[in-house]
Amino acid sequence: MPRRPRVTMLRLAAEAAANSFARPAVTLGMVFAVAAMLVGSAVAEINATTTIRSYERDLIGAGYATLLVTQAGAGGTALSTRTCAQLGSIDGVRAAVAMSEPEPIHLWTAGGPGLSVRYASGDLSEFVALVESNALAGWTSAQALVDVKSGASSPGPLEYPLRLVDDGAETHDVNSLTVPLSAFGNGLSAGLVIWDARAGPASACFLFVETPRRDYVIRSVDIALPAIAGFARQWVLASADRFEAPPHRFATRPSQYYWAVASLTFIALGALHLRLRRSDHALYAIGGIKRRHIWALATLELALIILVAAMLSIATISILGSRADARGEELRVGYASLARGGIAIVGCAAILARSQANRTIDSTLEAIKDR
Amino acid sequence: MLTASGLAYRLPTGRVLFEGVTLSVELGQVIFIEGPSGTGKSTLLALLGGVLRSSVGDVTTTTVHPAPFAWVLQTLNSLNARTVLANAMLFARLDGTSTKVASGLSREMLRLVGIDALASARAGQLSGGELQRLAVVRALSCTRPVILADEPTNQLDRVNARLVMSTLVEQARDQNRSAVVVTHDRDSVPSDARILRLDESGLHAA
Repeated sequence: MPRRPRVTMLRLAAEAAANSFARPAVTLGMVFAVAAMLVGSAVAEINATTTIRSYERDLIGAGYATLLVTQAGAGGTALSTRTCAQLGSIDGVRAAVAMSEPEPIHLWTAGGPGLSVRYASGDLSEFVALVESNALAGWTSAQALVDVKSGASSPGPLEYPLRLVDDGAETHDVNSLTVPLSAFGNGLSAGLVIWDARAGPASACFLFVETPRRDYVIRSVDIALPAIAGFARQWVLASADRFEAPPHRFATRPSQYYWAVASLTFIALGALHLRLRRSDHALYAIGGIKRRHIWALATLELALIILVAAMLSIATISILGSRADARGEELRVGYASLARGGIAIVGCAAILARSQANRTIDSTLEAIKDR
Repeated sequence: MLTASGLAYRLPTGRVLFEGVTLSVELGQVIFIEGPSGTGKSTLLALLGGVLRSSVGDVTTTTVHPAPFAWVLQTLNSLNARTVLANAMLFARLDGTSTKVASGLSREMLRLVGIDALASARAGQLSGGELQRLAVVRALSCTRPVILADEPTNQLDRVNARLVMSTLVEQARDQNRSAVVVTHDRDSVPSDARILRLDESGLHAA
């Protein structure tokens, strides 16, 4: 009958746990050190992602993603709400808004403060939401969107009534909502847009373009509405292409490698820890347990520390994330860094433990004297 | 039974430490080895226990036990952060003995060598002499057929040295285990013990 293995993984795990709990200061010190490294690399990733997202939002808010198509001269085809809607079907265009020429209008009375108003059709609400996801949170039935810089804006998120008087002294009572309109360019800064679903000619078409598809959209627009026919197009943010593209900035962020730095630091820390455990492991070796069991024991001792540190790190990131109101995407980047670091550290621990087992078994006499 | 035949050991410097060592230890038999410092007594134990390999000679045991050797180390190694009882049970627990059985046997052995009151203390708090007695208890608390003890009384006063040595010999005989004990302490060795002397040419009756 085959003999039952003398040293089981369960027994080694019990020994590893007992050894770890018997040295609480060292174990907790290692746990906190590993957790600090993991949390540090994750927080750096979350911060970098938040910064890049903020940079991206600022650029988009300034018109980085907005392609303005206009018709400078008379041509065979006139720019219209229908043409603009067709441009909206180009792959990479998330929203298309056709607008009329700006017109002067007065607040409250014919002698009231003057404003610039444009009538818009198309994907107006989608466009505004793409620029600022929370901008339309309070929208129920507003017909007018007022720029935050306008004198007619409201500090609150709710809709409010506005009375507008045009040059013909005709009064228009509209329900309004204050949103940022800077992505539409200077023409709408401090102005307002009134929703108008009627089809007809348009003076400009605003396209919200996905960053990776910028070149493709420009080529497509050039083909659909060529310059020779009197059409012109430009990014609303002047010299937009000279800004570092957010995806490129995200791809080259240094914090994505911090998990590797944390792993290298762990190698030094883990090696020092195992060096202090050498005589204990030698006692196990002299007690007759094999090389692979020493390896397993040393790995389990480190794995226990890493496991607790990882749990502590996850809890810390979750708490920090909820307190800082971090978005899911940013937290995911942080957790990805934590996972990479955790896996790498476990790998390092296994390699270090293997080295410890080899040294202990190959030089047992030296190891037992190493007290 | 432990048998060694024609064992020799050459130091890395090229000097022959000893050669032609032949030894046979029956179950229940205790053999003492003495000799001046530097003659290779500890090295011989390491060869017998398989910690060192010799290119000349053979060591065989008749047991099927996967870890046949219970060591009493001269260096007084212990798991300093663990309790005395946990240290005493270590070899037995590694052999798969249940905690209850190992604990009972270890407590009895601790009592025999006079440190049972320290069972719950951390091993790191013990004195050298107490650690030495703990090392003996660890070897006696398991069922491994061969005890290899390297100067098990060199940190002890005369009274405790005699107590520990007599406990070691009696328990080895009672448990029907072989024991090879290296010692400089002739006073502690029982009068009826078999004593061998190691020199460059091998083991000789002392």
